Amino acid sequence: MTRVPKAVRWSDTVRVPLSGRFLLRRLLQGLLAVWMAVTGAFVFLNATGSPERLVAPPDASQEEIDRIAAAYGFDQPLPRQYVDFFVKTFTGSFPDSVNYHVPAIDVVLDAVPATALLGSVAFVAGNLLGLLIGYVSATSRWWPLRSLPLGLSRIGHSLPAFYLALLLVILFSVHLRVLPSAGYGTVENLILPATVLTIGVLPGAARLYRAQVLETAGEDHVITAVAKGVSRNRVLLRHVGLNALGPALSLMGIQLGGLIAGAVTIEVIFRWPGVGSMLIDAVNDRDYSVALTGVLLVAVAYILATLVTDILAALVDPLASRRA
Amino acid sequence: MNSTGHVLSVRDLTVTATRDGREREVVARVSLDVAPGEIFGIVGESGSGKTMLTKAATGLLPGTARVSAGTIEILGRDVTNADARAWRSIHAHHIGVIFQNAATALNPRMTVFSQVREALPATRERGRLADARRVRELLETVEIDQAARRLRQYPHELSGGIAQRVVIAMALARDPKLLVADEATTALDAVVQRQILDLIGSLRRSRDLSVVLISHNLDVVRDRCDRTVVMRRGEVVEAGDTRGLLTTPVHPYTRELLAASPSVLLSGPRLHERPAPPTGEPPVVSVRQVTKRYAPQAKSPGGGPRTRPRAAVEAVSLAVHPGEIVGLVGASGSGKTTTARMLVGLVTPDTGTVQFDGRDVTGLSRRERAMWRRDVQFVFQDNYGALNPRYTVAESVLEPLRASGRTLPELGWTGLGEVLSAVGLDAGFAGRHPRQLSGGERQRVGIARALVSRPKLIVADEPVSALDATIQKRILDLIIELNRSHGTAFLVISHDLGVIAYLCSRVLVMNEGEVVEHGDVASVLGAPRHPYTAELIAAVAAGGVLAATSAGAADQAGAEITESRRAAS
Amino acid sequence: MSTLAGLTAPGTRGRGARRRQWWRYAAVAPAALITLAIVFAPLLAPYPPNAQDLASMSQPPSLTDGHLFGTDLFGRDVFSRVLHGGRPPLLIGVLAVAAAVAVGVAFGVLAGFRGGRLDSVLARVADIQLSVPGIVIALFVLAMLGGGFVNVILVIALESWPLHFRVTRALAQGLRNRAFVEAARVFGLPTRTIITRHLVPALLPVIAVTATANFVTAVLMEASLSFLGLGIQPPTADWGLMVSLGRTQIASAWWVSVFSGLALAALLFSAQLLGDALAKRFSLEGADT
Repeated sequence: MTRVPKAVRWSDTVRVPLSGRFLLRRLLQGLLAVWMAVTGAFVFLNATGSPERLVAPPDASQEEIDRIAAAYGFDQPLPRQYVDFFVKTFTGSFPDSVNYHVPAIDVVLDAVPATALLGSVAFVAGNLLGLLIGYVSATSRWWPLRSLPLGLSRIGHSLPAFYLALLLVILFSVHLRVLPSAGYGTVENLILPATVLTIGVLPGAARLYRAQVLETAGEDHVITAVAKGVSRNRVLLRHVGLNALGPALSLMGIQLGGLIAGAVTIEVIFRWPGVGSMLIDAVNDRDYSVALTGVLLVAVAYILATLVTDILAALVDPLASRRA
Repeated sequence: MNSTGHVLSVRDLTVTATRDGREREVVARVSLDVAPGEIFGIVGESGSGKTMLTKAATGLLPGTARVSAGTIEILGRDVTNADARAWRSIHAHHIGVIFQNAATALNPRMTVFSQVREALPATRERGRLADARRVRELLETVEIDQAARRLRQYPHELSGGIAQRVVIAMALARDPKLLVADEATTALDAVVQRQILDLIGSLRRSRDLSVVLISHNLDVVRDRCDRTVVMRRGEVVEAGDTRGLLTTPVHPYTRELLAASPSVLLSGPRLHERPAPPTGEPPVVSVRQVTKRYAPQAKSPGGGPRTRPRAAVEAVSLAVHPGEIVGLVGASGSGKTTTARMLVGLVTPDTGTVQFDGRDVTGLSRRERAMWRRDVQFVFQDNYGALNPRYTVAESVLEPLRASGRTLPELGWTGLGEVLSAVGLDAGFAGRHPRQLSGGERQRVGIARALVSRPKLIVADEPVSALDATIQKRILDLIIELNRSHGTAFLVISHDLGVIAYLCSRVLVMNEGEVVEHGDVASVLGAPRHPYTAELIAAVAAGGVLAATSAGAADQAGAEITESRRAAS
Repeated sequence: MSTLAGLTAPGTRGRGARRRQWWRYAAVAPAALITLAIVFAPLLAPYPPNAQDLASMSQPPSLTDGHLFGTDLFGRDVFSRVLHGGRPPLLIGVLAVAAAVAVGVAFGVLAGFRGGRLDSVLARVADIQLSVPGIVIALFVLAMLGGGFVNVILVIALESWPLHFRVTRALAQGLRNRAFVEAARVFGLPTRTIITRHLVPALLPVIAVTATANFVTAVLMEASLSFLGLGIQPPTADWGLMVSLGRTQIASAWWVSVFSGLALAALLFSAQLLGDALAKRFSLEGADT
């Protein structure tokens, strides 16, 4: 048996619940997901046989189609195209936008700040409020607090984002005339779209966290904590609330998909110059380079965001790194 | 301290619990007193109310239960109607509680240090390093090795024994007067179980603790407790000095419980009336030099957590002849279950052969394979999971016939009723679902399902380990009965030497994938040659010495049971 | 004296709560009512959905002049269009979910019961698919192939199958190691029989729940896509499309958007109620499966 020094060091008492192996594994998973997403786009594009026809306007002549095929490299052999596709994806060098005559990547990047602002406000506000409502509805001793906020949030949940947006515009812009119905640049402009998106995120987080808290409250170690003489509030916060956070966080990452879906329609309604509006414009204008670049960027951003939430989850829940 | 001087005093305590919308008395008019420095035992099987009694006495009753009558005093203070705040102070200062499953009793999210730290007295000066030193001392008090290193470990990184010691450390953190251990060792291996009990014993002496030890197992209280009560259906059926209780039990239930305890089974009457193993006939099934290694778990890209290869089976040979009962004993992870599963084809060996009727099973024709499926049956440990919850008893029992395409009359049964009565169930059980059955009844259904195709051999994997001792004994008697009346051979796999000794004529002892000893039961248990076998025997409640003290009672109980068995057949 | 008073979930009551009460079935009623109204729209609607009446454009809702919900810019009766407008979402929802369930369950049973390489490949594909938001896949595919009925169904089914796949696979994996399935193997029951006798009965309630949840997301997706102009094309009556058409005139003719949106919300809400009721019921019964 090895002899250990008698004194206790500070470092003996702290532990970062992240292992290098977990980070590496999760990172590799993310990279694999990016690779699969890009490959998926490529496969789909070529599955129809003649991608140039998909890209070209419906009334294009054969010469025009050939020109497009050459510009995009569709005339190259497939393996070559596959390699090129990756190079173009990661260097952002798809052909110029047909609408704006600037590199597609520039069009997409121009739209990022608006979406990042809207998305992060809604994600943070929605999840924080959701956690609060979930926690209160699981632990409160007063029944109205247990059921009312949760019930209200569920009604909000069954309204499609674009419809809720419309109702809010009718109320606040048309009738009360206190908030702008569309636009970008001021705080007033942000309020309505951010509210709609927040309401979209909140109920999921609330229900999820409530369920987790209730499940955790039934676990054996909670009784141990009570038997130790820890106070009720401290048991609820440290042994129930914090324990329930890890699984909830992982699932919040997955819910980001819903946020993105909501953001697309919201941006269109409020003429918010973000990635969503840009994607819809590109799709309607058949601006293939921009659409493709935008889709790939969203996929990468989403994969990154889930990576971050998974790491956060592992920080509060040492078992999360084993589940991943 | 109050006038009576008791640490814990319970008077006419009645606890009612609400289940299925009905209130029921789960503890009925129980009285007991625990003196300072005493170890007090509470023994009972599932449903006896012993856990609810302890929970009531420690203020940890679930929301569905309440104290409806009687009083509880702790250190002379009436706590019957104490509110959450008062209980908190009692938990903090006077009682430590240890739970059955240490793995789940610890918060998986917190390190050992942060959890034990929470239990430290609130009055001490706060400082992380000072606390850490104190926690480390506590860990050393409960004899945890490399205590400094354990501080920053998470519960999932600890073994079951270490985790239980951490729970004990938390219970001791505020120097309580009373330690309550609810089935604290049940989930642990026999050897670790003894170490934890020894630790509790020595802590009681060094810290002047009173201990309440709750267990379903008489062997646990046997040489640890000064006084013991035996509970059944919420009531105390017998109470008194432990030695007296075990040597001259008065209540029939205490006697039955005693006769069913592993150490008594080990030296029980069966040992002397066991028939000689049949010889000459070729084995029903056998395995020759089989080896099975489990590869590390499939890795995710980037290299998942490396799990060590699971318990393997290494060059094991074993044959079961018609009409005999063979035992296969070993600790968890010894490879005994894997070996048993090879006999019925649930696991395929890497090397070596499985033989049925003298032929390698890989070369069997479709018809011969069907014969193998019919002649060798399996009874599972997990008797709840072994029955589809959606099926009635009749559907479950008749399922094997669906595979073989034979009918009950073809197999020589007059009907389902006869199959059920063979395992001691009446025909009324046919329409019931598993959740309407008790553990023992479910295991009888499992045996009936194995029996229905009239096999030559039934392989039973831990057939009684999930059951209460008295129910265990009845199932063991059923196995003997079926062996006698139907001539069915059994291979019984168990970690419990008592079970093996009671049932079997021959035994194989497995350890870490190998058969370390085999022979007839009397000689293997009487004079073990392998140290592992000796250790196993010693772990069953210190073996012969204790069994001898209660031999009289055991003989009496054994005789009664032999008689009732005779009456039944 | 309960230690954590108030911490009991309404869903965690004992077995006694399993008694069947009539109101448990009430959750079916709203969904059934809305479905019937949509299915029998041609009988219930006072006007054909696309009948224009340029003499009465943008009439407000009225109880007296025959246009209960008013008329739109082309003088079409909004009430009739709201009734008919539910047909695309309902049909697309049902068909897309049916396709997703068929694919997801088939792959899930295969992967969960067989295991091995096939399982890890399928699980990986499903994971990747889940790692890209559905709307992004949908936008990409519809941008290339164009909108329309069949393409929208394909896109939604493509997005949804991993849900059913995962649930089925997890169930099959759990069941494969359950003792009663191993017992059936010891008797010599073939895998096919084990699947039909043991797996399918356990699977049905679970799929009922996931399919209902999936129906909600499918209808929402259809409405969003149509709203964005990528789904159902004009002049077909469709809720998402109608909300979008009325959006430009919310200041002057709010009723064009509001009623179709309300109908959509009602369908989604009733389907959610149904889903919750199913989940609650089966989680109580499934406690021991």
